[in-house]
Amino acid sequence: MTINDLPRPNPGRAKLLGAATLLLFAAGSAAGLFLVPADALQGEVQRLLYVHVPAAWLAMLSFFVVFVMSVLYLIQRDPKWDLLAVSAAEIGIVFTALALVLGSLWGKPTWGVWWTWDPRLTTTAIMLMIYVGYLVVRSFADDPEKRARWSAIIGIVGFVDVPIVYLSVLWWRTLHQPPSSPRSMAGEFVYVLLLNVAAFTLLYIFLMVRRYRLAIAERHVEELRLTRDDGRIT
Amino acid sequence: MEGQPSGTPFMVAGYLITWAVLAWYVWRLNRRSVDARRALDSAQAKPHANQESESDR
Repeated sequence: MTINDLPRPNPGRAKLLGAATLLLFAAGSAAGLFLVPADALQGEVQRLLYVHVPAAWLAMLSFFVVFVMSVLYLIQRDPKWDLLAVSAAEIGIVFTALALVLGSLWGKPTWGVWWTWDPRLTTTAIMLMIYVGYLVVRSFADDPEKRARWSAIIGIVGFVDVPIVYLSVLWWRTLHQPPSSPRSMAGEFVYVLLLNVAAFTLLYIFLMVRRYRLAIAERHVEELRLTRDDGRIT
Repeated sequence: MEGQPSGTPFMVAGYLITWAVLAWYVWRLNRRSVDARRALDSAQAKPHANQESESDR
């Protein structure tokens, strides 16, 4: 399979998806800021839950997608899996950085510190470094096939940290609270959290479509340049 | 919460940062897509130009 055989996403559908994402995202933010009451103990700062948790969830989902696409690439050697993996990795980095910043903003008024070497925070920072490294390694490889193979291996090995991040609050005694779930929260908080998780997930799909289109275009440019350069050499 | 800073400015900052970062990322994707499209057009135009100049000769 060559790059010319890759599927081309429909731009009209992407616009519709963008409008739906914006609406759901606005509804989720409005509900988190104005509809649901402030937490009895933590006060207003607890509203960060509705952006911090979805950002962290999407970071993990992104890296799971990187893992699956990397496995598929190594099995089938189809460039589309590599392009989907790099798209998911970049979006995952954005959401991981966002989750860390939001956690820090939540930590200062509740824990009294911006940062502490707590297992959840530390493993999340390591996760960020792994996937930044994934993109750095890609930038070093000129050969598309070698680049895809190297990054698929990092995408599979690096994923080991993701379940550790999730389970860190259960395995060790941490400052960070255990995972938020419907059993640990009142109903109205749960509904608003689920609305925001849905909004962020739709945003993730929207970003993946756009990033994948970009990856296809960049790959086309690279192939054309490589073909031209080969023509000059021969 | 006595002695602790009020959480409201942190909460407001968190939402503003979230919206700003996500809007910036969408804007960056758009910019990179435009650049990639231009580079694709230019890369596709050059082989044609080469072919034409070779046939002229």
